[in-house]
Amino acid sequence: MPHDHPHDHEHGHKHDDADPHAPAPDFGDASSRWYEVASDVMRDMLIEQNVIAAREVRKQIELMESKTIQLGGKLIARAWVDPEFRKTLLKDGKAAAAALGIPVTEASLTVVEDTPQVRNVIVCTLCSCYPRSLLGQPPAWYRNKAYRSRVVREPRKVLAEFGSVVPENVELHVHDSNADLRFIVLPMRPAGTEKMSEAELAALVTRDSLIGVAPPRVSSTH
Amino acid sequence: MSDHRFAPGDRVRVLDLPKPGHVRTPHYIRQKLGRVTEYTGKVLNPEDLAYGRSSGPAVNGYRVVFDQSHVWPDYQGSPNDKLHIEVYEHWLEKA
Amino acid sequence: MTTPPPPTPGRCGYHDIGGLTAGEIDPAEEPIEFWHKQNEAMRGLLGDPLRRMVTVDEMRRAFETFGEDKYNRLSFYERRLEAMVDILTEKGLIDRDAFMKRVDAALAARAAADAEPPSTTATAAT
Repeated sequence: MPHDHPHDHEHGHKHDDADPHAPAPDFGDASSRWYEVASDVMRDMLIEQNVIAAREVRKQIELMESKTIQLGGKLIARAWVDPEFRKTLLKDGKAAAAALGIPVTEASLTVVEDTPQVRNVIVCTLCSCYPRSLLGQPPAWYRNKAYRSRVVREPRKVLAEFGSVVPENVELHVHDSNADLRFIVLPMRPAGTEKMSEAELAALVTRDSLIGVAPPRVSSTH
Repeated sequence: MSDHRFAPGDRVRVLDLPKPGHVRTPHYIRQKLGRVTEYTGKVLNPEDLAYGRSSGPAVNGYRVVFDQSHVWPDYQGSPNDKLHIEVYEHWLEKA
Repeated sequence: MTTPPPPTPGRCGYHDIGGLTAGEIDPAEEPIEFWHKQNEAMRGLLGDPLRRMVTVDEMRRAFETFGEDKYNRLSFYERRLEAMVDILTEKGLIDRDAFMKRVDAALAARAAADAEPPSTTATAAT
């Protein structure tokens, strides 16, 4: 039976931005497999001590899995069609989400508005702060070092790498969610969508458009 | 009478406090000059929460906006590009 | 409760990377594994108002202080699990050594199970 190597590349498993050439770790066989088993052991130890219950863990996972871009799409689509809701969303994102039956559990949700003069992009340079109770887990690139380091300093170059060129006469605003606020971008409504229903509009909203690195889809066939 | 020191529009400088441990003021923004855009309210201080001290006093937070060309000497982009971060009151002084 | 380390001028830690030079951003999606979700679920429960055993601030402090080598070498969810173990150990809720031994034992058991030869009653091809 092959000996487990800490970085089993034939596994095809990426360790996001971990260094693949780092020396073997000093605390045992630290492959992703070790951590997979470690997760189960932690759960078991905490259950044995009555700190958590197995059922609670399952329910919490289900709750987390229910947080998807669909929720973000609902908020944005409503803001696109309803000017009063748009005002509420920009003033207090958490309250606006609650009005649509979407509970946001972070301290607050700040929605920053794209206009013809201003584009916005979100980052957490210190870790990976992201409105998880609305959108679920952030993508790997958002929490990896290259994005976190570069987007505050060369946002136009980073956006161009994502395929978004921001014109020179448009201001680009970077928001570092370094403390208690959590952010999403309210992108501009794509042109040619006047006849779309709210549900169709919601389907144009992508996770990347709420982070600000890409515009929304222009049609549902994209 | 206000229970917080700064108001939107105030020009402020981010202090480079020699504060040990868990802080949420990134190194790149220290000593930089910006403008308060919003008072974000009171929160328990993460600098204390990180060590299990979950009592007050709470701290005031602010959103502060900076010109990118001021933050980065080599900034490439529009001179009107901006950077917004959140700073706790004890990290700010009036500029 | 622990005491914060002495201050470091300038950089507030190896996690404080805004503005540093870095390479290409890899836009590839990474699948979220079950154990990633399980870890986040445990963290959420441990930090809830009736427990407050591992808050998000404590977890952050833990991975910001467990060493730059570990921070650079481990992947995102691995770091978070290590941070949770640190805080739980700090608070006397688990013992790190016992935890490590148990994980090693579980891994060994799994490897032993994988190494068992296939059943000798396997049917021959017809």
